[in-house]
Amino acid sequence: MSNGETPSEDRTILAAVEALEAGASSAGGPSSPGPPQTAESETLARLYTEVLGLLPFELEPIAPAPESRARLLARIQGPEARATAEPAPAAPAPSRVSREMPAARLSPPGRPAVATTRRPRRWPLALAAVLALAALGLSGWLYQQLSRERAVVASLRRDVESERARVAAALAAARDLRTAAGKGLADRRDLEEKLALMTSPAVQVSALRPAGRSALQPAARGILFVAADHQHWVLSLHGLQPAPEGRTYKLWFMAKQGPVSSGDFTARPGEPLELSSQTMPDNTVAAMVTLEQDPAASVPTGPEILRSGKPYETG
Amino acid sequence: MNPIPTPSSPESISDQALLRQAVERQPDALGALYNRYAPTLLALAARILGTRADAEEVVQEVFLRVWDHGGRYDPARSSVSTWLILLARSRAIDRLRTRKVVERTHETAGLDAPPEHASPEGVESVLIRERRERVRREMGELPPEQRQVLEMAFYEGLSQSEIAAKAEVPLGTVKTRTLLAMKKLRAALRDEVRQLL
Repeated sequence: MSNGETPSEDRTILAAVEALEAGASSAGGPSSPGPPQTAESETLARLYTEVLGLLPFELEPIAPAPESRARLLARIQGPEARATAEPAPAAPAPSRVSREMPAARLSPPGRPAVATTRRPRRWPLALAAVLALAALGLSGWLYQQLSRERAVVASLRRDVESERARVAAALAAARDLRTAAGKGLADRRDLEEKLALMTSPAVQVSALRPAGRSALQPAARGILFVAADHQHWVLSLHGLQPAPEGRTYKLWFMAKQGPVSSGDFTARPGEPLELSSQTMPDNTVAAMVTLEQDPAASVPTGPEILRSGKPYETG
Repeated sequence: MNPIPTPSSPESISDQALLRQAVERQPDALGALYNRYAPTLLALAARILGTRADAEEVVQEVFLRVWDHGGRYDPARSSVSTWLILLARSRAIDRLRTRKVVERTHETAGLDAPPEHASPEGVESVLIRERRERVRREMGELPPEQRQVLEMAFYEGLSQSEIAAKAEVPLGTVKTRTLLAMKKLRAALRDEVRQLL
């Protein structure tokens, strides 16, 4: 060269420049140019490598976006599995120079390469902490959900109990109504039967009046309706006073074989009475109401209150 | 080789010490290295690729590689800064070739986003700032034809033969220009180089 440098240095320089293309990105550092390798050539190679490394300092620096630094730190502080999961990049193809260089590191004795030992990995602890936090959060969420579910279930139970009580009350009311309705229907049928008997063309009607001049209850009256079959009958009473204490009214049908008891009854002041039955002793010719001390008396013993007259047909 | 002090960095820790700590999985150390060299690496990658986004990706890749494989750094071959720069250059050239971009601009106007030049005053290492000024001055002193061959080799990833073909000059002329430029720079930047050794 014109400045008197040796061809060896020229080869080293050109090899250093060519080494840029051959794999300057080698993780171990730039390839060292210049066979044969001597201490001097190694020093020269290193010098020119550093010269090349200075070239970009002529450029105007560009401040990276702040998020770029944050992104980098986030990536390296994430799962450190990157270091182990990601396979080490393949070494670049060796250059002409590097093929002639020993593959071993060029570190001189007593100056080891940077960091051959690593601190214990912390990512398992970090992962465990994250998992623990996640489990804790999940537990809390599940507990909230469970509490909410329990509250909903309790509310439903209250609603169900309330509904059951309401339905039970409604059912009871319905039963009462049905009972009342049934009774009403029975009463209606009974009334209809009585009305049919009273208005039938062949019915025999007998009036019951106080007996004798010294009648005990002169205002008392009665009408006996007897069906054509001489079995069904209806007795309507008015004006009877309540029976004295220890006594009761008894109805007697007077047949040819003698008086036959047709039951006892009580009276309320001012309220009419209706007695009826589907049976009547055969050959009944009259009816009588007495006031008895013994409700089970088989023959009239007490004073006579009412007695029927001659029957006649309304039709 | 003495560690290079970086007086303006908060810890004033040498590059090698920071790299060692990064290898030991200390994110703060990697962050410090990033603060120190990312602006230069980003400028380099942007110069090669012509796009800010790709350049940012290259810088990310470089520092991820440092994090994952920094233990492979060999201090006998280069300084940490040169290692980072050559890593970034190699990544950017690879990306450029993959992208098959034939023409690219050498002007920052071609960047898809206006770059924010210059780190804030006081953040950039004084040492690096002085280095930058010195390199600019000495590069400016190079004859244009010598500067051109260096730039074509370094920023475009062209071989000597490719440079000869592109510049339409004999291969021998390219090699001579390259040798002259490199020797001038070595002499002019000897103090800088010495600091790196």
